[in-house]
Amino acid sequence: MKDIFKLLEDNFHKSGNPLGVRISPSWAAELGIDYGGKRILFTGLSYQLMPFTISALNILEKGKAVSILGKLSKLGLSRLIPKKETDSFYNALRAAYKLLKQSGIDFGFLYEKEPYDGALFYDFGMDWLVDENEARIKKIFEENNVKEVLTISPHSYFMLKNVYDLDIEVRHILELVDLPRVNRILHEPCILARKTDFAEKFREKFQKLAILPKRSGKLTSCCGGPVELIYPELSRAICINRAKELEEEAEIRNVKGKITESTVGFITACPICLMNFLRCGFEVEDYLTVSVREGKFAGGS
Amino acid sequence: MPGEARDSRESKDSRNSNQLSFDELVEKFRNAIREELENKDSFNAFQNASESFFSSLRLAFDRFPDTAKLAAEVRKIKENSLENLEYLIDVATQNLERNGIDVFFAKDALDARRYILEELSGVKERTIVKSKSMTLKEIGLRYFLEKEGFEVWETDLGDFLVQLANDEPMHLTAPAIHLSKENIAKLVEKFGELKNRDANSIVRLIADFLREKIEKAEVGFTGANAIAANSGSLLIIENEGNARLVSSLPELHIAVVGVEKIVPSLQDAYKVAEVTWRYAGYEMPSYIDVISSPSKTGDIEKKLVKGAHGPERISVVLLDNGRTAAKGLLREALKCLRCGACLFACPVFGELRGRWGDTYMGGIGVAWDAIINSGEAYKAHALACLLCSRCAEVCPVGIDSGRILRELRASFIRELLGIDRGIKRGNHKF
Ligand code: SF4
Repeated sequence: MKDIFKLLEDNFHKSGNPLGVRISPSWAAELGIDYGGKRILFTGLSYQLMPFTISALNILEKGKAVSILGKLSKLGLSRLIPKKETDSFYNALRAAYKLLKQSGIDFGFLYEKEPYDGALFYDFGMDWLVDENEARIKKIFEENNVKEVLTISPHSYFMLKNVYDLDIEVRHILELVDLPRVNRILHEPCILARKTDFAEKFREKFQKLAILPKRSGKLTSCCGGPVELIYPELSRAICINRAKELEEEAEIRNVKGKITESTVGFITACPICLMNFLRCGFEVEDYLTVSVREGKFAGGS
Repeated sequence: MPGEARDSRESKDSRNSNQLSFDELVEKFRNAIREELENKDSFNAFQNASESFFSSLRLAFDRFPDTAKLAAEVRKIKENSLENLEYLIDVATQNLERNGIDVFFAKDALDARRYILEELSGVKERTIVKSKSMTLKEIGLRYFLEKEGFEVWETDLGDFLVQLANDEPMHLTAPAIHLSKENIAKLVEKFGELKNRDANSIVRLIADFLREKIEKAEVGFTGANAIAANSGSLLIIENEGNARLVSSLPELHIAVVGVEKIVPSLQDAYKVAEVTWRYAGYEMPSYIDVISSPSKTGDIEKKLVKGAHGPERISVVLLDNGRTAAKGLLREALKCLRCGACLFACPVFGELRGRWGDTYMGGIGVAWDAIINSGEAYKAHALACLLCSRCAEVCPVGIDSGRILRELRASFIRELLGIDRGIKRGNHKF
C-alpha cells in the first residue's frame, strides 16, 4: 500500500498526474480551441485519465498484490487501452465543447499546461499533495491570466470550488448550457446531488434531460467508483447493484437503449461513474455525448 | 454454552490487528470483502430489511411530521452537551449518586472490566444476563465474563441469535439482519423443540428459554440511550421488554454508558430518545424506561427498604475510552445516536453489512473504532468509504461519516509515508 501511495506521488511529481501517463490534448487541437484566455475549459485531466484507470483496474483485480500497479505503470498503461472505452471519454469532452459553443460561450484551453484536478489525492487524504497541487494550479492560472474556469467533471468542480482556495470564478458546464431531452435513464453523480450549493439547480436540469431512477436527487446512490483502486471487487459489486436499479427503471419505463438481458444504455454525468460502469461491462455513455447526438432541443435540433 | 470465550475486546479484527502491518490489514479486509460478497443470503436479507426500514421510516415521519424539527433541536442539544462534557459528567455523577446509584468513571475498557469484576466478586450465581448495547460490546463484556467463568446470555432476540450462531451483530439496531428464518430455526433447534418453524414459535421458544435465565441471574447488564444529568436518570428504549426484565429482576443492575450520552436534562434526554427511535424506523417503541434509583419502598413504618420488586443496587459505569480525547472531525462522531439509519443508506454497508467495521460497524462505526482505540483495523476499513455522503442525508444529527473518514485517512497515510506536511486540510464545506 505504501508503494501505491508513493507511486501516485512520484508519478505526480514526474508527469503531473497520479498515473504517470502522457495525456495528449490533440482532441482540443482538432476542435481548434484557442490556447489560454481569461475563461478556460478545465477538464482537470479527469476524463483523460479514466481509460488508463480501466486498464490498471482490470489487471489489479486479477492480481493479488497491489504493488502490481507499480509494474504496470512502468510497462506503460496506454498500450492496454481498448479503443472503444477511450472514445467514450473523449467524446464527452468534444460534446462539452459543442454544447458550450452552441450556447455562445467563448473559452480557451491550456493544452499541455492543463493541471490535474487532484481529486484522487483529496479522496485518499494525501493532503500534502492537495496543497502542492493547489499551489501548482494557482501558479498556472496566474501565469495564464485565467479568471474563470468551466469545469465538466463534478470532481474537478468540487476540488476547485470547495477544496482549493482560488481567487477565480468556478462554474460547472450545467450552469451554462441548456440540455435537450433524451430518452435515457440518468445516473446522477453524488457530488452534484449532494455536495454543492446548486444541487437543486442541477437536479432541475437533470430532470429535464432524462428519466431519473427511484434513488435519485439527494438519495442518488454511488456507482462504487471511488474505492476501485484499493477494493476493486467491492467497487464492482456496488456498481453492478446500482446498474440493476437503473436497469429495472429502464424496464418499467420501456426506455430505448436496452442491449441485452444484462445491459442497458443509461447515461452518467461524471467520468468516474462512466469509468466504473464501463469496466463492469455496462453499456453506458456520458450525458453530454448523448445530448449532442440524440437530443431534441426545444425549437429544433 | 454457545460461542467459545474469545478475546475480551469482543471484536472481529482487533484480536491481531495491532500486530499486522498496514498491507496485511488491507489484505485481510480484502479477503473478508471477497467472502462477504459471496454471501447472497445475507445480501438479500439485508435488501429486504432495508426496503422495510425505509417504508417504516416514511410511516413514522407521516405520523410525526415534526420529527425533522426535533432532530435539529437534538443536534444542538448534543453539540452543546459535547462542548460541556466534563461539566456534565460531574453533574450527572453527583445526581446519580444522590439518587442512590453507584457511579464509576472508567477511563478505558480495561478499567471498566476491572470495576465490573470487583462488583461481581460477591455474586454466587454464575448466570448473567445482558440486553443489547454497543457499549457493552465495546468493552467486550460477554467474552470477558465468559473467560472469567460466567455464563452470559444475550437477551435481545437478535443478539441471542447471533450468540447462538457464534457470529457478530450485522447492524446497530438489527443484529441478526443477515439470518434467514430457516437458518434461525436450525439454530434454535439446538436447544429446544420447535412445534412449527414459523417466526411466532421461534420467538416463543427463545423467550421462554431466556425468561428462565433472567429469573436465575443475580446481575443484569444494560446500556442506555441517554443520561439526564440534572435528574440523574438513565433512559432506555426498547421493544422486546427484555431490557426492563434485565434491569429489574436481578438484584444488581449494572449499566455501562458512554459519557457522550449525557445531556443536561430529562427533557433533553427524552428528545434524544424520541429522535433515536424515530430514525431507527419506529413510530413509537414499546417501552421507554426511565431509571433514576434502585427499587425502594417506605411502606413499613416509613423506613426505606431497597430492592422491593426491582434491584437493590444499581451501578453506572460512565465510560470514556477515548471519547473526551477525540479531536477534529472525530468529535463529530460523538453526536451519533446509534439509530442505524445511515447504515441502511450506505452502498458499502449494503454489500458488507457488519463485516465493515471492527467493534462498531459501517462508516460511522469505523470512526468509532478510531475513537475507542479498538486496534489498527480501522485504517483498512476507512479506505472502503466512497465519500458519497448519502449517510449524511438520513442522519438526524447531520453526521457525514465520509468527511470524518477522509480526515482519518489523511492522518494515517501521512504517518505511513512519514509526511509532516498537509496537516491543516480536511474541514471543507460538504
Ligand atoms: S451517524 Fe447518524 S444516522 Fe448513523 S447511527 Fe449515528 S445518528 Fe444514526
